[in-house]
Amino acid sequence: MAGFASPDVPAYVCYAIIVVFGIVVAVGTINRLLEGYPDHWAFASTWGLFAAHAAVPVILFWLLDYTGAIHDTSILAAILVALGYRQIFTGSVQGVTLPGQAAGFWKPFEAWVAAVADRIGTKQKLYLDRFDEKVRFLIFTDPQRMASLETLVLSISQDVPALQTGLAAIPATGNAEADRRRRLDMLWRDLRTSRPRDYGWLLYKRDIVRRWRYWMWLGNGRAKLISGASLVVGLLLLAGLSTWMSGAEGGIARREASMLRYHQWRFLKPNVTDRDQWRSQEFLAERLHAVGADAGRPAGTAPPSEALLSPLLRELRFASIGDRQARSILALVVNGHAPAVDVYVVPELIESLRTASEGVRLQIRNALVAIQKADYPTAKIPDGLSTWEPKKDESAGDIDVRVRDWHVWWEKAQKPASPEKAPAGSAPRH
Amino acid sequence: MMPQFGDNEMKVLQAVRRSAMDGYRLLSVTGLKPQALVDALLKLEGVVNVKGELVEGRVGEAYVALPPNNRSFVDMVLAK
Repeated sequence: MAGFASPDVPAYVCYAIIVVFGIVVAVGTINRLLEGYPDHWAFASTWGLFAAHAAVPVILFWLLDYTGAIHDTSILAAILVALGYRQIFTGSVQGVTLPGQAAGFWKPFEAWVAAVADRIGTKQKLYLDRFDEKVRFLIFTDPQRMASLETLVLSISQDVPALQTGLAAIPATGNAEADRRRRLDMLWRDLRTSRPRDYGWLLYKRDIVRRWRYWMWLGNGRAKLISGASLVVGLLLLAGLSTWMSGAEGGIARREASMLRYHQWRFLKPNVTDRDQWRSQEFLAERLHAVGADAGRPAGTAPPSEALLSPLLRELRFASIGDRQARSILALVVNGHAPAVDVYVVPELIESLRTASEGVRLQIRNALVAIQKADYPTAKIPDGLSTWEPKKDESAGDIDVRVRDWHVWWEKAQKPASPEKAPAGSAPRH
Repeated sequence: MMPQFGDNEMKVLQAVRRSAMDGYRLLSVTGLKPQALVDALLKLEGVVNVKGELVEGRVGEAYVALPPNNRSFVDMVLAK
């Protein structure tokens, strides 16, 4: 699947596809799983199950990308995972295999579905009992309703003679309330038996129950209310996010910060496609160029180059950084050189010389030499530093000496080549 | 081995396969008498989920559903 020929688009587009398709598939899945349970959307546990079903393809997509089974920039892989995540879990999609015991993840999910179904059954029974109890209480305390119910039941009963005989045979207990209760129970049972589907509607039409009570308990009202409220909450969240990310300066800054974090993540991600890394490189290079061109920031503000490059340069100190990543990071800072950028980058590069990897130390040294040639040609690097060949068994003390020497050079270099007094020809190569 | 169910149990399974329902509706859909429904539901223990009391006078107030896990099994039974 990793080699699957598919349009390569930014990962956030693929994740958006997964979310949208995932929601549609999750709605269908929940409706199918709980098809036997009317009003299943009226229960919080159903919405929990729905949220989990919508989240599974997103997590699975990330997991498959993490394990190298697919790329998270492949539009076809996104659609495949969103539509067929259950088949992927059961191992019936050729070319997409889950690592280890991940396929067993589906078992507790099925148990959860059964538990939710059981809970819905319990709640449905409870709601029907509550409706019955409430309506019977209303009828019991209102002689007019009692008379209406009797008329209704006698007019629809499947066995009127039996009902009349039964009513006449109710023994008098001497307690008027108890007698009325027994009469009501018999009428109610006959009503439910004769018209099990629409007894609520008949009660409403006879003004025995109010419309909202009927709608709420027997007319799908709870499901409609809760589904509507969930939809409104979802739309409000989307609108809030959209407002937060758009509009005036604050929104632009937040959007820019989000894009920056996204591209830093993509730039450092080990298993990205070449095209994806190129996209992030272009984005970061463009921002770096803007930093280099805009040296006149207000004093006391954090340098933008630090926000831009800090997570990338920090990676250079990681002993097991990949060769490709180190080369990409150093190419970015060398291509984006400018005195305003160097102020942050050079000291960071010098400190990164302490990394355990001699290969990366060599690449950093080459980058420092390149920056010196471009922006500080008058500040010569001592021969011992420019020709230094980092070795595998170099001691920490030896490296520390080099680092201090580089710092000494940098202090000297900064004086004539400060951003305000940059030498001619030191503009970044863009 | 496939369990053997009688006509009444099959009627109940057919009804709850379509939708969960209360006992009154189940009596109407299957055409069973209350005691026959109680007997059928007792035989279907573990296959269908019953909330409420399984006694003749109160079976109408029970709520009967087919758990999602048993759906394929019931489909197989009904297909036979």
